Amino acid sequence: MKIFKQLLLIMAFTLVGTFISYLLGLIHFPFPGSLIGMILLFVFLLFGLVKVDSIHDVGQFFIDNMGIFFVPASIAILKQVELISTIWWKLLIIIFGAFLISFTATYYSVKLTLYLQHRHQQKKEQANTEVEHD
Amino acid sequence: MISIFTSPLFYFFLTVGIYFLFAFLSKRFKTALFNPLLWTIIFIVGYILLIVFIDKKDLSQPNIDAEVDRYQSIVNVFDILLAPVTVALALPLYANRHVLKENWLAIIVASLVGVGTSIGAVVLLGWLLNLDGSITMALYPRGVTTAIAKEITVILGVSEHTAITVAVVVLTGIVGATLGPLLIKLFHDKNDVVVGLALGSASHAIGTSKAFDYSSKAGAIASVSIVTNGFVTVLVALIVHFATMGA
Repeated sequence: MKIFKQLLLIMAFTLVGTFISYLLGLIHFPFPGSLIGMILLFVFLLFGLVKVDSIHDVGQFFIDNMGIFFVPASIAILKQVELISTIWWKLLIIIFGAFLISFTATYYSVKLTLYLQHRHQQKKEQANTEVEHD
Repeated sequence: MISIFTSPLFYFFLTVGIYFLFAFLSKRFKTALFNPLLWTIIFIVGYILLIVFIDKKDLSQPNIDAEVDRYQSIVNVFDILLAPVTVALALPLYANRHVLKENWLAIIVASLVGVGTSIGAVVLLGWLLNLDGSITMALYPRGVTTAIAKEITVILGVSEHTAITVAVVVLTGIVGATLGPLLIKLFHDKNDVVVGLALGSASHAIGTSKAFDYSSKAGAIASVSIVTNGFVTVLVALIVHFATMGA
């Protein structure tokens, strides 16, 4: 019973999201319904309108085993054998290349951000102590 | 005899069974190389080819396509539940809301830089390698969690390449979870925020599970960055959508 209830609640958020996405589609704004559902659920959780306990078991099962839900979409790769056989090495270069570039860039940009934040904080503290000394 | 092994229940059993086996192995040995989705696909591909070969003695594309269609209709329930699964991403976001609040600036910087360089690298490499434009576009969400990546291919109008997108996203996650720790060693700094955001935004959920090996804070911040990265990529996709519509 509990599992059904949780599943129904998550599906309800999904359907509301899908409906809003449909309305946005009417004004030619293609925003995915599942993401709208996610935002709605997050907001409802923040405001305590939905308790974590009332979705946790099913939700956590979904999060922990996300991969299996992609099996039907991924198996379609078998329908594109001809295409893949000509471009697979290009895809591999992009997988490795784009990872190395974005990982390194993210790593150092976050490091720089933290450093600047830290320095800013220190200056503020220094200014405060100087004021106290006056 | 063979009909038992091509029955819907057997296909379903095989899918869940292989997924469960590799989920167990990857947890037991703590390695991304046993990624359950990747191995389930490899085994099912092999199994479908075997069945078609035994049944039809001819591995022509139409024969394979027919069996793939039948298989997809058997496991279609997973595809239907994909949207609710995506909605459930609100759960880790909510659980880590304090991490989000404390580190919002670093998270935003990481998402903007991560997504920007990711798409930039795909466009550049795609151009250098002379890759078909629609396939290059399907690779824009390469570092985004699969659920959101799939939606992005729809916005970009390249959903015919969703299977390639999913394959690249999963392989990116495995590459990231394997190479990421080596790069971190090379770069020295093991700050929770730096490690979590680099792993999370460059290699999504699979990288995030690696981030948890460093500390629970690194894992938490990586989980948040998966969602923020997804949203930034959706925004870029919307801009591309409207820009190409106007042209």
